[in-house]
Amino acid sequence: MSERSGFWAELSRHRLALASVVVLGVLSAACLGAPLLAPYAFDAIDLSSIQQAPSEDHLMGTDDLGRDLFTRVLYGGRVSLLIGVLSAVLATVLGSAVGVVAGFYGRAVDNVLMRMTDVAYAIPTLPLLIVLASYTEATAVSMAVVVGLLSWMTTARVVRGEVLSLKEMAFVEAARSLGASSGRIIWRHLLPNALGPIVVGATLAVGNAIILESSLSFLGLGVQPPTPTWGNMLMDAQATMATKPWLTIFPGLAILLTVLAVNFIGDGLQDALDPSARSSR
Amino acid sequence: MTAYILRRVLQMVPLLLGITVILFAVIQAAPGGPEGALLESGRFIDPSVVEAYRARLGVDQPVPVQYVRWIGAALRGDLGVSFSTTRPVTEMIIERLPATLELMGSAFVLAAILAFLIGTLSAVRQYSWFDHLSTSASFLGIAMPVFWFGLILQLVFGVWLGWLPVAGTGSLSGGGLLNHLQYLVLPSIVLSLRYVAGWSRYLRGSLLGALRADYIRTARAKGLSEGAVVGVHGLRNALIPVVSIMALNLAGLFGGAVITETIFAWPGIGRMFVQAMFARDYPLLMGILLLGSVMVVVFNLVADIVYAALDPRIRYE
Amino acid sequence: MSGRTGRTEDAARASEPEVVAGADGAGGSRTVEPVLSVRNLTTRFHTRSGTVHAVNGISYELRAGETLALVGESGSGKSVSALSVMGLVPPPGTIEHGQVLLNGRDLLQASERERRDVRGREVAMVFQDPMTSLNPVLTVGRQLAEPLRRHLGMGAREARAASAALMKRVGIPNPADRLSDHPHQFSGGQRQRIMIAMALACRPSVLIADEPTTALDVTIQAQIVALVRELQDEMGMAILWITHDLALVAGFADRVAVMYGGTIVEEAGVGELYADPRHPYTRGLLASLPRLDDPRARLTSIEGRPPDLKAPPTSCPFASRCDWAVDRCEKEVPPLMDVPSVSGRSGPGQHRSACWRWDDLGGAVDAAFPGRAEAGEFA
Repeated sequence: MSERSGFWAELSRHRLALASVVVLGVLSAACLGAPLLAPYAFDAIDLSSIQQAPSEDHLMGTDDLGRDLFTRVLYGGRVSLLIGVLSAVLATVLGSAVGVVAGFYGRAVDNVLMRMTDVAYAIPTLPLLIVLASYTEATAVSMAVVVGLLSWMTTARVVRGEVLSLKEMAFVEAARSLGASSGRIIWRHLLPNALGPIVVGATLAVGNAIILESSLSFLGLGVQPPTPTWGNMLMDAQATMATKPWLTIFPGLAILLTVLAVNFIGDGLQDALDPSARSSR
Repeated sequence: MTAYILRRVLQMVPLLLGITVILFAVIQAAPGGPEGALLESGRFIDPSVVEAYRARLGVDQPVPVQYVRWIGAALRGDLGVSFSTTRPVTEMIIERLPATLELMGSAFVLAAILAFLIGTLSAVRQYSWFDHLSTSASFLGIAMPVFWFGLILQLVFGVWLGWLPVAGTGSLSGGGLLNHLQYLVLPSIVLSLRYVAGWSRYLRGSLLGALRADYIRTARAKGLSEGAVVGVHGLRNALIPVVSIMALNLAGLFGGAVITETIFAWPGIGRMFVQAMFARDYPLLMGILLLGSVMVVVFNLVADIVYAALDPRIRYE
Repeated sequence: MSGRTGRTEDAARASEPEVVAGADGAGGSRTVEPVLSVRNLTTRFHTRSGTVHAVNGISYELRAGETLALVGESGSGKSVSALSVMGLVPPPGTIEHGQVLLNGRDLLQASERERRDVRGREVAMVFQDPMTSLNPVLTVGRQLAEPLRRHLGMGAREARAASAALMKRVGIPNPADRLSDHPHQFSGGQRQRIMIAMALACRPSVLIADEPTTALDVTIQAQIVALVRELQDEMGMAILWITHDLALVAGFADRVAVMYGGTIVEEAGVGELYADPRHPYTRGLLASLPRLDDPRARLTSIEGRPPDLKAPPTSCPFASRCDWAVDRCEKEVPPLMDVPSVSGRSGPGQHRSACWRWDDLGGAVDAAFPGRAEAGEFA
């Protein structure tokens, strides 16, 4: 009995991952196509229709300047997704590089890099981000860089562990004895085989970065208005939350849905790439 | 055990040094230097405070010298004087620390209890409706931005239902303990959400793994009740990694407290941190960052000790 | 192997049908009731990729003080059949039908609560790997005390004293001091001794030993076997000894049941099985044993692969690997049939073979095995 329901649980989990790919695809397409799709301009102020509840004209209502919320959620998604993907790529490249080098060269190199990782790990991320973000007028790219620079540590540790075990395997020994250079071994043998955890880590990093970005924007440190982001829309909404709840609900739902989809994909990938982890999670 | 702890404490020293170097560099990297950034902001500030700051670090000295002077003072508990209040940073932190520890503590306890119950039940009833429900809920909990969850709770319980206060702490002297606890409820729930989700998942996986072990079969072969099999033999093993993760995550609670305190106007260090950031009060920011980092390092140590204490296989050599 | 002769006498006594007056007097005589009687036990695993027919209707009986060796290769269903007796078949396995009569009571009809009262008290089990079968984070004292407190209602202090006595009995030095040690502080052999102490704590009437020596060094194996035999003499429990090693059990089992493909293919007294195996699989197993008297002799092995258990048996499970197979073997599943005993004794359960051609087989296999000379006594 339980075996059978386990099968359904797993199938439904993978279905969730597949559904998430679709949801995320639609969402990204809608955000990227915002200039074509959005019914209004994101900064079109319409004082005749301020703070309207969701209606046919304004699917998600309007804000205190009469701007269409649906339009702004679409445009806000561009920034959030861009920052999420860009910083995840940065964190993954950085983390993989540190992890591979530390794991491959071992000894002093490993020691130095891993102690650096420990230090970076020990500093509370969000407070440090807050300080760094306050230094510059935030743009999407600068935000992505800052978030990425503070999110590489987990990947570094995982990749190092992976490389340490791969290094001992016969095929790496064989490549070495055939005179392959270190660079070639890393590039052709170690990285491709550590790709599973790297990809899973990168996926989860996207979700994390979106939450971090929105938290910063919420505190007023993110990309500045009038460019909408999900975070700064929520910051604006806080004051009128009691009377205009839709201003709070929709941008938050957008974040939740996006991060949920990304995490489901990460989870599905992890199942697919590491069958042994399946039953225990 | 004592030697083990001592060795671990000694290992903390280089880690803490590394952290202070990074933090010092980050603060120095403020455009125009910490005090310059402040002056440029056009905010009024007592010139004598800035002068004292410059003299204290010796800004005409090379940066490494400044660092040494700063860390020397920090070791004596002197974190400098706040730009915005002209009061000693140490004093300001100590004043706000209890509120933050109270919030972190209640969130931690709440998360631990809920995660224990949910994780255990999900594992014992694997693939039941409860397991599916808790799995879905935990995905939601992890994907939910803390601040948005806070806003929604304020909206539902504060505004719509009117059951709970949405900001402040209530005064212990005026309203009494019960009144004060009412203010604690929502922030604690918000801060604990992520950890309830994470820990319950982790415990579930860990317990499922333990329940497949040979010694569980031995325990069943002895005729022990299912409660004893799961509770004594399963959980005793499954909790070891979970408890050490919990200790590690205590540090993450500090970051979460920054957001939570800001939303709920909770008068703790996190809220003060955000205020200090807007005031460009770098000595205060630096002090709080340092405190947060020390907390992380200390909780790491606690995690190691807890792990070693719970798992008899770990020898302390 | 010293004391072998004495054991065979014991064995002969134990397996000899003892005649007692029937209660009603009408039926004449009957044999002593077995402590454990397994009838038509069938256990299947309903997995995603199909149903695995792990145990297909096996039957055997076990009397007080007797040792029955259940021999088979891995996947033959011997361990699953033991777990079925304990009621510990892991999901997705289920016991489809059959009876497990322990002292006359059918455990498969009992409630889970009643079965828990039986486990560890009337029937106990020792597992293969002593490294993983003890809980690593609990002291051995605590683990030893568990059955005592659970079944005998001992208090903490009493259980501690009894645990120390048990440790002493199984040969752990300084037992009182070592109760507060954890499993990793003991050697593999010591851990298996502790497992045995734990299993026998409540003096069960049946001990199931599932390859208890497989994970141990050869010298330790002999010690563990000797310990279990000593304890059996002392406590008089029946033992179901599961093993893949036919040579190991030659020295101390009273009877041997050979399992193949989820069924018992042959069962006989130990001497008779070695002297006159009546199933081609048993013969193959015996031929594959190394000869102690002639090290140059070639070892033979059984060609082919074990049967696929995904389908219910429709032929003799061994037919595809069998040199003796005839058409009938492919068409009809052979039941266990009574074979006339060489020892002169005959009657139900003495010697059974599930081979259509048992009559064509016979005589000793040309291979040496421990205790073969003694086994010759029967011939």
